[in-house]
Amino acid sequence: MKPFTLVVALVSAFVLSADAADTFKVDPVHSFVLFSVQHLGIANTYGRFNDIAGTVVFDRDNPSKSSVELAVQVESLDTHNSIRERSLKSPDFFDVKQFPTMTFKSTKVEGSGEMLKVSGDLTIRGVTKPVTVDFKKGGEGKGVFGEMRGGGETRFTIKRSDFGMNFELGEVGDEVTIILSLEGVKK
Amino acid sequence: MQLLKQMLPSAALAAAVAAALFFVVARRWRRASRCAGAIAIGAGYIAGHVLVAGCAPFPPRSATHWLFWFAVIGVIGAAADALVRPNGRIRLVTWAIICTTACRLILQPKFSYAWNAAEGWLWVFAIALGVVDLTCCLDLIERRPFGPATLFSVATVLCAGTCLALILSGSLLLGQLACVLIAIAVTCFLLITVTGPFHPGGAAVPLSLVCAGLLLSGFFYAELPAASALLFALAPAGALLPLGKESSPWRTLALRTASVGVPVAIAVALAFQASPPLAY
Repeated sequence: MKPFTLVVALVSAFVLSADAADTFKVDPVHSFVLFSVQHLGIANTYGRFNDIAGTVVFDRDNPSKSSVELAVQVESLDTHNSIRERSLKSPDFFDVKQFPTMTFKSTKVEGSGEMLKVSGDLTIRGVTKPVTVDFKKGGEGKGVFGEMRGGGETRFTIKRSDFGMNFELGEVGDEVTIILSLEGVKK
Repeated sequence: MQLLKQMLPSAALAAAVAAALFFVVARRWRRASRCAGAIAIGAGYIAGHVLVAGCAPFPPRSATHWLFWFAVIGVIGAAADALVRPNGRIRLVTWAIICTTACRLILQPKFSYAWNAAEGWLWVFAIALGVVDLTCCLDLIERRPFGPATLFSVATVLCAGTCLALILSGSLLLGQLACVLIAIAVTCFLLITVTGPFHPGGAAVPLSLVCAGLLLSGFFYAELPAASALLFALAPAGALLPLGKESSPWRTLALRTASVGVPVAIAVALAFQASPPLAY
């Protein structure tokens, strides 16, 4: 082996071993964005977004170096009723034709072990607000094709009015509970 | 019934603000009476808009926010028009610039997500032509004998149709904002007819800007059929059709309003046909 090739190989090996972070691509089939909101103060109405994409970088040795980036297509809204979905996608609520994507980009990850505190910027309807969520890390394991998988889940509450969604605040609750369950495939 | 309950407070507030300003400006402040209609419509709409959708931020983030600012721009434009009194050609060019700018601003999301620049500007210029046509028709109606009363009766029919079509297109919010305009138009019409003949002007600019903004929002961001939007924009031209021998002002007003009502009714029927059932 030539000396130059040897140096490159050694440096590469060092860099690779120093970077303990794993990058997971969000698996849209096994990831879920569910939400619930009060209707007329009577009961909760539930819905979900079926199109989610993103990347999670997880550094188990130093979780503060971890990061999350997610994008949800609002058009994929599913509430088990097409007329309600039409209303929710209209300018009255999500205004999907003007704001087709919701995003989350982490700014800080703290904690260790199973529980992580993830802070970041949540953008809905073009309004960006900082949120902090408790993310419970799930397990890791191999998928049916031998691919490495990891995941976890968080549940948090936002106020839709904070994101400019003020319509029918009396009839449809202001507080929206979101359950985000992520499963990713290691790159 | 629930829908009417939702619409009533904003409509009542808009009507009260418009009536107060219309009366004060037109009756007590003669120098400003040339833009009293604009002030009444603009201020009334702003009050109603705030109650329905909250105060719009600046810079606006969405088309609904722009509707608020269109009312402000309409009042400023009408006031400038009343002060400067430019000739017809300069007015037309000024309106064309305002309407094109308004269309470009409200269609910003389409430039971001759907169109390239050339395609987008083609849309903007085509739509701006329609908005200028709407403004010119409303302005011409206002300048005719018995014009303000005719303008507000035409505006009532136009906004009522727009309100119904927007609700059918899936947006109660836009429907409520159109309802605010109905309340203002009805109030101004009643004030003119009850309190005697006077000619407060300038209503055409804010009315056409807000109305066009609602129609564009309905077409591009809700599900208002293109044919409906086009019919609404062209409907006021019906009030300018020659009616043969002019009879009493009230009969002429009724005929002109009816000739606007026909295309408006067709536009609503088309929106109804295209809409799914409203009940869950």
